[in-house]
Amino acid sequence: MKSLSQSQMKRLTAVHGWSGMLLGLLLYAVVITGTVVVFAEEIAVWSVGGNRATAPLTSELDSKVHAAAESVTKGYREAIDVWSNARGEVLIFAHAHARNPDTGQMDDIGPLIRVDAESGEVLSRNDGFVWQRADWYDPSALRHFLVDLHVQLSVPEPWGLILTGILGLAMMAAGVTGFIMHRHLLRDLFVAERPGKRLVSARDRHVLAASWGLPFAFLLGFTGAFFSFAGTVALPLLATIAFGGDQEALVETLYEPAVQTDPRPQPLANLDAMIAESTGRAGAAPIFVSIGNFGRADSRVSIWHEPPAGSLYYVHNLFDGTGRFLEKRPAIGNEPSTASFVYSLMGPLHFGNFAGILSKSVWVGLGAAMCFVILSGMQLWTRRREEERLWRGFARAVSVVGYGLPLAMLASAYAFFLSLPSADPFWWTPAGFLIAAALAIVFGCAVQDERRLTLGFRRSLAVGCLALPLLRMAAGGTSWAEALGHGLGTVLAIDLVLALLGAALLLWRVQESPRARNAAFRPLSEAAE
Amino acid sequence: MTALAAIVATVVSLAALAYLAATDPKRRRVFRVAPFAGRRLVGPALAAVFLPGVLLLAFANGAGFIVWLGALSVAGWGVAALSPAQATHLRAWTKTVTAALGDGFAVSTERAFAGAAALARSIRAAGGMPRRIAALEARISALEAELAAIRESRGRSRPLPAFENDSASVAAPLETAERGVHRVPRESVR
Repeated sequence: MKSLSQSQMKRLTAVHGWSGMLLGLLLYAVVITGTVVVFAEEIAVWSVGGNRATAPLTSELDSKVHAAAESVTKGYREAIDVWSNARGEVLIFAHAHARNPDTGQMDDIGPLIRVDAESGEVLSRNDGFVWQRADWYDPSALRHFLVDLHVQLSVPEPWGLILTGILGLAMMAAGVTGFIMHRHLLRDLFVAERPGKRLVSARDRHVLAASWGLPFAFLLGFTGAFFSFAGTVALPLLATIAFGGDQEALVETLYEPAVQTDPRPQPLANLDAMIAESTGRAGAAPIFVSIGNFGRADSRVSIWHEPPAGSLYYVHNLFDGTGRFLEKRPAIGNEPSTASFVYSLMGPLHFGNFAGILSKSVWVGLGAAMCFVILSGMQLWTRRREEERLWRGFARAVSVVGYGLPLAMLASAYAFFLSLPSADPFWWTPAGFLIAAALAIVFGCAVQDERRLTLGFRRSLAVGCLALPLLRMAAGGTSWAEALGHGLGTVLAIDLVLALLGAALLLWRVQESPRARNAAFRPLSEAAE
Repeated sequence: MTALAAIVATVVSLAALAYLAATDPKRRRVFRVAPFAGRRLVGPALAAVFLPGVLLLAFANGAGFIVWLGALSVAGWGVAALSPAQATHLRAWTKTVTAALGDGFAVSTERAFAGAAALARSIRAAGGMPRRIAALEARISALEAELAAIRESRGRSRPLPAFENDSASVAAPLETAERGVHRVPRESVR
């Protein structure tokens, strides 16, 4: 690589550092919430329990869907979507499209029917613009809040998405500028943090983590920005240019199969048989079923499956109303294409959900590494300027956000469980987060000694992690015996992870003193920049 | 299968990365560890790092490949972030834990291997014994003849040839190693 002149390097360092300073704390918020919501599905199951002894989409779905379709007016049979929630219940959403007066946008409207997967009993029915009421379709307010915090920092649409999109781009930019700046990337790939807690140690820490995480920092930043901007900027722009602003037409062209209209009545073939055939073809479990024009001759049934073993992509099989298999659909368009291939890679590469717990665990590790890079980068920047009062204050802000944010996320879980018996968890979960965040800021302002501040945060986090499983069970959550009986290994796993995290945080505190003793060690000196 | 293949591939690559880290010259210099004594096998180590990923791709295991890449990214950082002293502590700790956990298994396995190896050696030694004895006898006869010829030609005693002096010191450890098979240095037998 061509070496940069001193002035070029100075400019690049300024771009890298200042972009990190301005957006670093927000980026940290997005990344740490993203790290947690990799296990969003598992968190939902853990928080609401339920019963997974029966696979919801493969147990006599046909009768449930037919009963639901009979109970709605004909207009809502335009599209019937079927999926299962975190409790293992079946959700059947028969809907049409109408302009939502609250948002001014076209939206899905219709009855959302919640059905017991085993007995087929209707548990609840809600009519209206369903996507505006999270409590209708998501049983876990905790999962909903954490995902919303990651996706749009709980800022209203579209601004939250635009903000996280910009943060994704900032992450990519930081990766690229860091790569150009660091001339000895390969030579320093195995140089661990030098002891002594000197400036060069802080630099080693940041550079090492950033070097190893570079490819995935770029990848996660890019895919995150893609998801943020796709719905807010790219699709509306494309709709304006190519479809005269008609986003419905755009969506139909991109995602839905071309069908010749035929409104003649025709009963839908057995859905269970179609799901069984589709599962056999895909080699993976079904996760979503969508029936277009239910009860008509031009009916189409789309069945989505988890990625099969060894594959990264979801499988989308298409059947007609008679139960005949038509085709395996590409992610976008009607023919397999490079664009469809690239598009279908975005989801798996961002969510890390293509190989079950293993890939999710790896993605959590990557997220944790990114958090470390962001925080260590900001610590390095403030350390270099610690003579100035302003930067000392900012260094404290980094510590408060660094520890306060996970603490506030933990507090949101406490608020969720405490509000479950008698209050609205969809209100209290974000409220718990905000209260804990405010307390963390007050604690950060009140405690001047850095060591005491750090210990206080770590101790709070440790106690919070250790006590959360107990609170969950005290609030009526699934016991371990029930969890085992209902096939909910997730409940046990998350409780154990929390206990281990708590123990590790306590041990981390104890292990600090020997490290401080290492300060006397004088290794070979090396420039910090 | 995806998970298993990805895990095995990651472990193999990680072992190679650990070797590269342990022998890295700059790392050793920075932490004041003596330069690596042996020859640093960078090429084979790099091949061992990347080959598992290539194999995963070759066997159409895209998911496994991405998992391997991600895991290598995180675990590679973990390996590199350990200082040499921490790595030594970790190695010692791992050994202790492994010994404690699998003591019974390890001991029985070790004994089984040792027994099998001893049996194999005995069989091999028994098979080769007559040939070796014959070779030894021939060699000793030749040496004695040579010695006698030297004494005769010079008419006086001389210090023993170097190999005769060496034979005692070299033969002792060999005897131990070969479990009672009396040998002189290999050079002299050939």
